[in-house]
Amino acid sequence: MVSITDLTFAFKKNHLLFNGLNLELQAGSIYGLFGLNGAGKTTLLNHISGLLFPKSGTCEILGKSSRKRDPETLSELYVLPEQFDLPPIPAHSYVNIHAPFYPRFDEEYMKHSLMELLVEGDKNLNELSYGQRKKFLIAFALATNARLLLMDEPTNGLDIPSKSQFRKIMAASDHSKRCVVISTHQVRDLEAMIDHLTVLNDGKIIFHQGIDNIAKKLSFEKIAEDDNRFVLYSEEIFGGKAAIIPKKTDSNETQIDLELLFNGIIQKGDVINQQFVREAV
Amino acid sequence: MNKPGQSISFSMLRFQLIIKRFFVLNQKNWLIGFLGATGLLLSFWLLPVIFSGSASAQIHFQSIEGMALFFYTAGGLALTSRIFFELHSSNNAFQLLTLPASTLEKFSAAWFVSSVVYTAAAITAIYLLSIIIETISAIRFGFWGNFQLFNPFENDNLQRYASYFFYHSIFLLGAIYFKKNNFLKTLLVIITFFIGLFFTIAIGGLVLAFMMVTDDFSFEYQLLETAAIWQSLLTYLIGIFLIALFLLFGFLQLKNKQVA
Amino acid sequence: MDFSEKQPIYLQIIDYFCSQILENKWKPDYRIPSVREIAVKMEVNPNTAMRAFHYLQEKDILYNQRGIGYFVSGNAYQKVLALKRAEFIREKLPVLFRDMSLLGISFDELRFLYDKNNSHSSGL
Repeated sequence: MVSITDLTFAFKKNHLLFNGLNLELQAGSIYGLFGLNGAGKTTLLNHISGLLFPKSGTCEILGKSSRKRDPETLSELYVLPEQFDLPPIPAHSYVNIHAPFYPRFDEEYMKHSLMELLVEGDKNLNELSYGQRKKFLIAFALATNARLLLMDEPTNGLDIPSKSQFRKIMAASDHSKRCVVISTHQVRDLEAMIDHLTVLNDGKIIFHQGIDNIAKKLSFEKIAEDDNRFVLYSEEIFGGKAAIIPKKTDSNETQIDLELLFNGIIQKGDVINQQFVREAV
Repeated sequence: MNKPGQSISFSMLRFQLIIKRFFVLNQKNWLIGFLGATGLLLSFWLLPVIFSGSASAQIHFQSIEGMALFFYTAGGLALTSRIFFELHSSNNAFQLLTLPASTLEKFSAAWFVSSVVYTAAAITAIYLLSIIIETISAIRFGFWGNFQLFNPFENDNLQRYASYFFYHSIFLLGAIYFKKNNFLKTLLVIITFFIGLFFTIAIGGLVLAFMMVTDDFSFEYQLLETAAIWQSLLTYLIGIFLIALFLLFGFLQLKNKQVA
Repeated sequence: MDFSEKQPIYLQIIDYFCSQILENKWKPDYRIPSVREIAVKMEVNPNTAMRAFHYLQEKDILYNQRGIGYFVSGNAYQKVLALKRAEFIREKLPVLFRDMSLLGISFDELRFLYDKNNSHSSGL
């Protein structure tokens, strides 16, 4: 679906934001794109969508360079930025003028979502609250049935019930033919939604694994201070340590602690990646 | 990798959809602009009527025709400057740039709306205005036999449309190129260009004059006479060439536009 | 002390299904909620919910009728019972025994408490 090879990019001279970045994304998955502030998550999404051009390297959607902005490619892409303005027209007008560009646009779904999300349909979109506008555009994005959906911090600025609504509408839609990329630093909001963890750091993708695979390879346990098992990464918590331990094949799977894993990858990425390399060899 | 020989796709349907989108997104501003211009024209026509009701020469549409045509040009260039407003804010650019249509479709739709459609609408509006004004004055003063309607096909007017299309192509480029105050900046560039041109010609002319002081002028006279026949044709050809050039630059600007 | 880890979501879903069957709320041939409904309810990725369905289908506790949905198998109760008994003996009992010895609770004391608890619940 998305194929990025040897991507380099710099906003400022002499400071490469991306330095030989490679990434492959497949349909049927929801990728969580994580990274520290300033790692370039938004910039990476902008490259995928063709809003920014690589300095060198290629970035392709469905086999076509995204900087070409080919209509057929664009009709399979929907971008939901973190910040956006909507025009001073009501929701149905917005849908009317944009939906025909998407060949598989689902009118029924759109109508249904607007009612379910309680988006006020008679008001002009620019008069809606930030959360309402976001929910409107999320519903529109899903209704386009575009095969590639890029969402930048979709839960940012949503109140707690809206975050739950967001997870529900994501859970309710069929992603088997769709590739969703969600960039976020709010790990907890989307922990249960994503099925791939992709970590961007120092201009490269330093971790890219399926959740299933992570659960098979790593065990997330709370251990005693004096536990002397081999630990990949650990953090002090009350009454012991939260630790990432190589999982034994016969032991039960544990719930992945994404926050712990993310911190572990940032600080000891090599050690953790080692666990995944071993089997492949 | 992309094949270099890929055909440029152009879909009439998408072209129409983009035009519709421009109308819906800008409907409010355009309506306000149109009503404002009409209101101003009517009041400029009415003021002399009210203050010196006896001066019958003042009450014909022709008294405001020049102003109407000025509004046509200025309004059109202002509209053109704003047609790509979405491009220049990071909160909006994605909506136009990732809209599933080719750059050519987006660019040509913007051009078509702000030049052809706009000119047709403006001419129709001015024509209707002239009918209204002439009818009112006929009722008021009883000059039924003396309708002086706006003639869109008068030579002067045709030239005005042509010059609008010329400046329009520059403003369309400016609308994509500049990030803010596109209208003023484009205007400034054009003025600067003409001032520069003036000085170049003036200085060049002086130098030429000095050089030719001793020469005999017959050659130049001959040239001018021959050129007079071809002058208007040449002007149009150069004009069309420049329009094509500006449009090409505009298209390339849009094609390579990135978000900040 | 007890260092039991939080269960993965798909196991939580499996547990929920199993307890519905053990409590006889879901009888054989009962049509259970769809993958989508479960995913929405739990606010999880549909693939995660799917995993629970697949696991139980493999164990013959659920069966799938294409295009209609998932149903409870005829002998689901026995299967779940066996599964859960094994799990209890494997995982919960060692913890219980360890805590009993840590806290000095004898087997007789446990039996007394067990009988007392049972007579209470049967009396209700």
